[in-house]
Amino acid sequence: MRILIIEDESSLLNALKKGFEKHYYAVDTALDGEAALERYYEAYYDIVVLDLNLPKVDGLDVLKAIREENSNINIIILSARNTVEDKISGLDMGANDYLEKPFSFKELLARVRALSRRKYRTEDTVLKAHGITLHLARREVYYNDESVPLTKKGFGILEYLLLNQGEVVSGEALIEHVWNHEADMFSNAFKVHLSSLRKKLPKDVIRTVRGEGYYVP
Amino acid sequence: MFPRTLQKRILLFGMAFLLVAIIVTGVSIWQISQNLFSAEAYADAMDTDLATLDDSVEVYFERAATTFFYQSLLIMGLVVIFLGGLSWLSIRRLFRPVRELTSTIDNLDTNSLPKSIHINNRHAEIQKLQQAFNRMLKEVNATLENQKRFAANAAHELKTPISSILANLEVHDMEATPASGDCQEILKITKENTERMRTLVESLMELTQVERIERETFKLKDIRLITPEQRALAEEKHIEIHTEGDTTIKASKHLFERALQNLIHNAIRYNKKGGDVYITAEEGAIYIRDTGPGIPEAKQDKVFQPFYCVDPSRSRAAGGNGLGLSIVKQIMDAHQFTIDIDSAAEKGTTITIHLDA
Repeated sequence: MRILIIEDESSLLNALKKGFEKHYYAVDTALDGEAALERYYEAYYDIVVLDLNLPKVDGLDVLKAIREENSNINIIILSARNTVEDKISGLDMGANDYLEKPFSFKELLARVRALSRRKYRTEDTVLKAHGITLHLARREVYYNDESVPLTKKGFGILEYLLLNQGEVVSGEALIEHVWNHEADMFSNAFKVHLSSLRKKLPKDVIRTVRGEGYYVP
Repeated sequence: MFPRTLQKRILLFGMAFLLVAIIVTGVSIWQISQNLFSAEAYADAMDTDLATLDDSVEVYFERAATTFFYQSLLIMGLVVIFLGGLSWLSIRRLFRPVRELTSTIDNLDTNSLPKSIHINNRHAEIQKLQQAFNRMLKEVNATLENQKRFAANAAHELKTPISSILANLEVHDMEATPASGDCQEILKITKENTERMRTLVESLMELTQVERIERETFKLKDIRLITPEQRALAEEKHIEIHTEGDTTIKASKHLFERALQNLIHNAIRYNKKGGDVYITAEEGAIYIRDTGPGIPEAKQDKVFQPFYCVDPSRSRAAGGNGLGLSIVKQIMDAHQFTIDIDSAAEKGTTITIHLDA
């Protein structure tokens, strides 16, 4: 899952980045509206966490710009503006959720999970296939009730493939969703993580379609 | 007791005047009946002796006098009752718009005051009363709106540091074995944010406390313009502070000192590295000039509004909360001094305080 956090308060932004990374998200950050849009146009994000009071380009304008370009992305507003009117205008302009500051980070995590479930049209908080169980909230993977220790990236790859089960996902798309912008697209880190993931799982769970990508049947 | 409502008082006065009229008219009717309808008057008029007149004449006049007296009283009574009733009704009618206005005002929802009230009445007094009330309503609404915005801004400014502290602590809590460097970092963040909240709360208190001023006479040179923190900040940014001239000030020394310190703090805080701050005084005026980026003309009116920041992210980074200039303005207003801004983007800012308002 790749997430973009836009927040002008740097100490809060750092905490959010650290927290999301701990939960195996690939995180990019932006301190103002302008940087946020630059980041946004460069990559595919699953979720955007957006503060409203932003320097340079206002949060609501960032929201409008993102919504005009992409109607599928999940946007959650995180704001200290807490009147009913603020919430209505935020939601009407295309945000999927609105969380008031001060907030609990655990609640933010839960809301982000709920939004991604909605995006991938699943009601389950647990993904299952071929004896593998992946807990979205606990960030744990089991094979036949035995814990499988995965790296953050390995977990991210498996999560994305299971969310898109049955569909072929290209290597680029996997990198886009699992790594943040600091990743080097030409390095073989992806291949290394993929092969180590495959070794930990039963044979043939992750299949390759030559020249196209990977899928879990 | 004297009646308390205007309507009853008017009626009471009316009745009192009527009573006087009844008595005066009654007495004159009585006198007319006695003098005009009498055998003596008849004899006088006929130039004959009263004794020669027939008894029946005397009886006739006596009767006529009585009949005239009672009939007149009866007619007067009927007229009084009729007109009294009529005036009671018309007074009530005249007072109806007042009652209507009262009940409209009484029934106003104090939680969501309307922009104006309107009742159908052409009378000038009522219309004026209504206009006056609507003017007041407008001012009350504006004040309420201001206070609401102020409270929302204050809450917003407090929520941001709280969110930051909370998120940092919560994320830290998720770590099974936290590194000691992380703890240091969180302590630092908590301290910075708490400091921010402390300054904010202090500024808020100051804003509400500038009410009563006790003036004394002192010289500009007598007050401490630059605090040690400001001096340290100036040194850090390699800013030179130049002072020139002096003036006599009649003001609350403590408040005036506070206001000048705020202005000089801004001049240092929003100055460029290696810039200058000039504090110049002449009789009746003090100028504070900086070599910072200046304030765009469109934003100059707004800088005195609470929580307004020309560039919010830069102000926050510099530790500002948008209350400093509001406090200065409030202090100057309380002394009836005026404060002007002369600034243009990229030119620097000059703040002028006129002491002879």
